[in-house]
Amino acid sequence: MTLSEWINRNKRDGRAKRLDYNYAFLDEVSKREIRRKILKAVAIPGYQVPFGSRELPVARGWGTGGIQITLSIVLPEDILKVIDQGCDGSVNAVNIKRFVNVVTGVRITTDTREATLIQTRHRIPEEPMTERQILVLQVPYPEALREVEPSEAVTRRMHAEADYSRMWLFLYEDIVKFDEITIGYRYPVTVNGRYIMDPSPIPRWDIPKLHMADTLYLFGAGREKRIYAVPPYTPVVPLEFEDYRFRVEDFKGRACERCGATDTYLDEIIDDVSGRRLWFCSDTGYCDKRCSR
Amino acid sequence: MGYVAVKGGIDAIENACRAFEFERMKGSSAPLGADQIRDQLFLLVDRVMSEGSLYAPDLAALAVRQAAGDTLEAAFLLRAYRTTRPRLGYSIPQPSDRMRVVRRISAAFKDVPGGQVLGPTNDYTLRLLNFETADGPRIRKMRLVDEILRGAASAEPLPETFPRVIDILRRENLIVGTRRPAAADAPFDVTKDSLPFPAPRSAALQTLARGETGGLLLLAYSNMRGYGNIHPTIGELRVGYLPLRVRHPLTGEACTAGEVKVTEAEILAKFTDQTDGPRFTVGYGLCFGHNEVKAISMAILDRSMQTGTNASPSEDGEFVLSHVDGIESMGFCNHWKLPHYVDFQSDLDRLRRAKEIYDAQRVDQPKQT
Amino acid sequence: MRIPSAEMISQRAFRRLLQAMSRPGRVYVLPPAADNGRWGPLLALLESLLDHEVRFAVVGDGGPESLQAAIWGRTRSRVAAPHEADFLIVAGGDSGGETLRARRGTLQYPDASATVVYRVKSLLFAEGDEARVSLRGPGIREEIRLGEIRGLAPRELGYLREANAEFPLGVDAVFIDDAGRILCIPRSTEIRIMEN
Repeated sequence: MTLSEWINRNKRDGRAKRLDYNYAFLDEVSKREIRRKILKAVAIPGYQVPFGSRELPVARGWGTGGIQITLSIVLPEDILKVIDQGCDGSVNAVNIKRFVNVVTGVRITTDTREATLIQTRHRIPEEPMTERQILVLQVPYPEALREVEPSEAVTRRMHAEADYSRMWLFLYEDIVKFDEITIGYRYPVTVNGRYIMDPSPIPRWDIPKLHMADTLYLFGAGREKRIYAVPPYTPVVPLEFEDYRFRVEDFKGRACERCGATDTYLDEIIDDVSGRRLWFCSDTGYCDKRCSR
Repeated sequence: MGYVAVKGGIDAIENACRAFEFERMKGSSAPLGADQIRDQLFLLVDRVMSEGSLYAPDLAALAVRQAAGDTLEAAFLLRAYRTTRPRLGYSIPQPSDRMRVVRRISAAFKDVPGGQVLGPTNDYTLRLLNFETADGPRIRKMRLVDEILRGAASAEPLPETFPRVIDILRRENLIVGTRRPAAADAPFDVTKDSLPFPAPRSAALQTLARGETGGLLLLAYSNMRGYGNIHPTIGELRVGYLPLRVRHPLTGEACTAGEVKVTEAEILAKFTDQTDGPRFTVGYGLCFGHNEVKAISMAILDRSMQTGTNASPSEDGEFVLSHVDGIESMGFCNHWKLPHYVDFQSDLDRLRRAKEIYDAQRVDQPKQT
Repeated sequence: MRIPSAEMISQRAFRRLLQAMSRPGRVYVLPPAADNGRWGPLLALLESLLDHEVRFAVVGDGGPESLQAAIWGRTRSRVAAPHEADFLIVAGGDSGGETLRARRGTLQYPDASATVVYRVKSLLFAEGDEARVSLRGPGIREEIRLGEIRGLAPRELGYLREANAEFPLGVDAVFIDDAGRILCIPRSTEIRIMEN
């Protein structure tokens, strides 16, 4: 069945319920398990809680962890924003928001400030978020230590013992080789002084937004079956040495070609015709808002 | 500006779906009936049921058609459907000697009690491509059915059940003991809980039974070839129907609700020096449908993971179990098609910075002459 | 007016609970439940979390047997000994020390630990209430000071402090009153009992 057939069938029937699907698609047993795991994740900031992870009509690796969290907490009166790479119109973001809309009736927005619930892949919106909002991040690799150790049994032990020496060694070797920390995105952070956490593949630009934020951040990895969280007002510190600092991406001297912003994360575009480099806001909702002002 | 982001929203998605449908329909041949797929491509349907972890031949046939024959995609459709169905109850475990056998062989003995039953197999055919016209199969079908039915009258019927080869050896105390789980010891369910490592055996077997055939084969083959040393002998391979027994919801009495076609493999492997004397070790494989490669591969992996040395990939339980699921690996492989330009930009930033430092250091260093 | 379905009540109750767990020490109010009986809010809260996959125990006074039966009836969650339960329900605000024996998880799986749900008289704090406890940690901007929680045995916050002394091991506490007010103190919260 195509997406539109499925959506239209649901629309005709009014509520998703009549299609034998529960409110928010997941059955209650699945939702309760996810809720229990979310609570533990919030109570143990940065710790990855294993969960059952149901199969969805969306492929593994395409945001199923984030979707399961969203479905377990979303209310009909929520206003939902879904972005991929900062963009509201990306095909996967569109697919996800239509799916959630159909099974819950939730309203969709592209405005970060208006949204009460935001699901995202690889970005945190530019506009500061508030206490009444929740950001759900889709996670491909929940394990920050996977970079240095492939075995889950071993990384779990490393977390248990807070033995992060190999991670620091990894950073050190990087510096020896390049005289700079070369980690681009997925920059490892320490949460609340205890767990090293993978912030999901957000750029370094977004890392400071995790620190002592007003907003609750929930992370879902569907394929790897892990949920973790950064509660509001929680210290989140990127790994760095005093003389080799964590640095966000450098866009000095650049501005968005469209809205002129000089304080946003930019996408670098190569113009087909002239071959010239152009720069545009990655957060399209914010860029649109600035343009319409 | 010539840039178009990977977007366009719902219209683009729908057109892509339609184009895929069209691709399947555009030929001049008659549309496939799901019943044709179920009956004539039964091995494909069996494989999809096994990897999709749902025993439903009609639905699997639908999935195969919808997925245009892509087994990974068809199994995914079944799994996604399965997740929406409530769990109404649990069946009663059945010993596999209750199986209504259609094929049963042992490589360990020339003959076994109950006899070798070749059943339906193409193991011994010459792999010559059959150039029959479309009419050929229709005529051949009638002739074949006729022949088989005529022969059936004089043939000795197969016994209801067969003794298990492995039990013969077990009686002689030549096989390691099996630990029967206590009744209260419910098997692990990987669809309800995340798989822990080291994995309980029930979780390992369930993961393998849902695994992708090619993935299991690759890992088992690596062991057979030399990355490992199980050296299996097929104690018994059987294909047949196991009764599906459930408790009646009102009376609580056990009753048969149907039967499920499965392939079961038991392999005997190098003996261990147990505290109570040397014995053979056993590897066990069982999957939905008729899929001998999968059942044998599963049995080999079950045994190799018990080696406990992690000296080769197939012995490393975490390695094997984390990578055999077709739906997960396919999904993640495909996800690389999603845009990653934000991450790439971040990497570019780091590379440019590293290059700057590199170039600056080269300038600083005096040229050697 | 349409009567909200059980799953919608659960979804709403959980959302408030999630807010409360993310912001320890702050009082949130559960949405109205269909059942406004004595245990209505408590049962609505538990229904969003409990089912046959987990175990619970009810301890303390305040009608533990009938509450246990009510919880089982609504959730089909299995009854367990207090030290084995996933959810320890303290019916009358006094665990008699069971909070100290509740599961705290392991270093590898600190999440395999109990959530302690205290039913208390009232989570209403008056303006002039004297501060009894100071809370710091994730979810709290700097510090939150709470007055006396009415209907909570004075020793209980000390028990929680002790059970949560070795982070990440510990238990997570939810306080609820019969008006549906809730307040959380997860293990990540530093509890300081104030000297008077």
